[in-house]
Amino acid sequence: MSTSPEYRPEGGSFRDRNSRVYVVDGRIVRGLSRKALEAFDALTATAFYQRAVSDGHVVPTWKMAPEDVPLNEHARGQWEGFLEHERIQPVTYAYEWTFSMLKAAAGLTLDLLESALEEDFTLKDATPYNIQFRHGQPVLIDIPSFEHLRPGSPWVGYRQFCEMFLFPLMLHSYRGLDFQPLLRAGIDGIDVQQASRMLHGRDRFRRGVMSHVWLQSKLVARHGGTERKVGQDLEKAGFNKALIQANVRRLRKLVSRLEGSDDITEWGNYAEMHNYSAEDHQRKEAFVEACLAKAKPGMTWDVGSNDGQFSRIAARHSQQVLALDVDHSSLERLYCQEDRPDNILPLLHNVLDPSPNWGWRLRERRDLPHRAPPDLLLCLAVIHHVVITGHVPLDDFVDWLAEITPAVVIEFVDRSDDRVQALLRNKADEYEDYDHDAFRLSLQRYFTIESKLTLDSGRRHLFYARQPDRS
Amino acid sequence: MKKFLVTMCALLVCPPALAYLDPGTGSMLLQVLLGGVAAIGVALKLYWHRFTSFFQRGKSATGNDPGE
Repeated sequence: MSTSPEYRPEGGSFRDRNSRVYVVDGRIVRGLSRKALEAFDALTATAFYQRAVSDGHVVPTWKMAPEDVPLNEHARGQWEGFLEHERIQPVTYAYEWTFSMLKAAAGLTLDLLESALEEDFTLKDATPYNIQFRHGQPVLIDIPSFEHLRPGSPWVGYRQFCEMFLFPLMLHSYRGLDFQPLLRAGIDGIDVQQASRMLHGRDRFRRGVMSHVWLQSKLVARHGGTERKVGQDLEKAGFNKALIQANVRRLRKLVSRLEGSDDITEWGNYAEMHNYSAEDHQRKEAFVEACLAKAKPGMTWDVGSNDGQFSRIAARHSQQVLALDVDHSSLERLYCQEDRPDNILPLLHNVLDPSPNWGWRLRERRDLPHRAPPDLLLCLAVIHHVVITGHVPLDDFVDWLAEITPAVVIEFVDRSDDRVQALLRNKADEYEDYDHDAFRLSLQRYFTIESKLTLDSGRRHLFYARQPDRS
Repeated sequence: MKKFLVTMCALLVCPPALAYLDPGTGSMLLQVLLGGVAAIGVALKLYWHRFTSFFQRGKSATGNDPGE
């Protein structure tokens, strides 16, 4: 029997044999085996789970009546029962998060584990792919990760916690290394041997490195080939829950002490460093506000958001704003702002090197347009970076806009602007296509220009454009 | 304390088999060492078993690795 595409399980949910996720008409449905269903029933009776639900630390989840399950017979027959989860949009990945976002996700994982242990439950997985940001706060989405703790058993998720959370955080904090490209390069995170090679020399004396990195790498190398059943040995030797609890408490303390290593970057004080007058800035803000108020988009991408000044305007008129930038410091500052509206999510995203489709069958992790297609793209003072720094032909850039979004608010920065001149300073100028009129004509191949504003300086032009055949 | 346990661990290592490595094994053992004072009894018991079985195995080992 063939499986129609809408009943195909989500590409990233294949690892757990006891559960599988389906997305049907925007609803998130999870099939459970008998074992997982029994574990869920036991879980919902615990105080820690009920507390986690009321505190918003796990995704809102409920059991489905059989007649409500929107799957075909084939899919329904594979599972003993079904849960429905509240849909979180967008799904994001750790290689798009800032340091503080990964740290918050690590903290939540350990907090949930610690409270679960009190009632003899454990978390069998410890991966940031199981954590998402809902209203700006991390939540656990993989409820079947909770299972009964087997007496005498160690925490099976410990190594995964190290590879997916602890090592990336340590590398950023202790070495100033970007963890995002490493997590995008390895779907299972940073292997302990790799981490040990990167955290060497004096780093070994930093908090937690000697034990969680160096010693673990030695033990893994030396005992990886043992024929003994170490789990049984540990049980016989009297391994118990108190040891896991002690380790989790230490890990929690370690994670909470790790600090970001960002320096002030070129973009760090963007708000003060733009090169146009306060009046022009106000006119630009008013133009963006008016366009967004008219468009009322569900999903807005603010490409080149910096620390989110225009994302905040967009957030007043959008259901969700993704503040996308290549600069970690700016996004980190935005994430840490206490008054950040909870519908703004900062994400590291480079349009020239975006998150790909990858993993098993290239469906395990998806690109951003697949996860969160924009209704409107805000693209202020970005085009010169893409065309001149990124060497993308102007028409190609507009083709991409037309492919990705039905509406755009875009700023064209003239080549006479000193920012553009700075980019051209040490380059052969092969960018004849980088021209205001050429841009307008290129845009009109797909879009209808609804409104336009040229700032008083005459060097910056703002367009609000929509594709007439795409709502 | 940790250094003592590390030394014990290092002294009692068996050479890794060339077959399939299970990285989870080393991480499990580490969790004993990370348990601190509460883990002393477990570590001693665990490594005593490994210590005695090391010699028992030495007497009976054939040296053949089943490999694949």
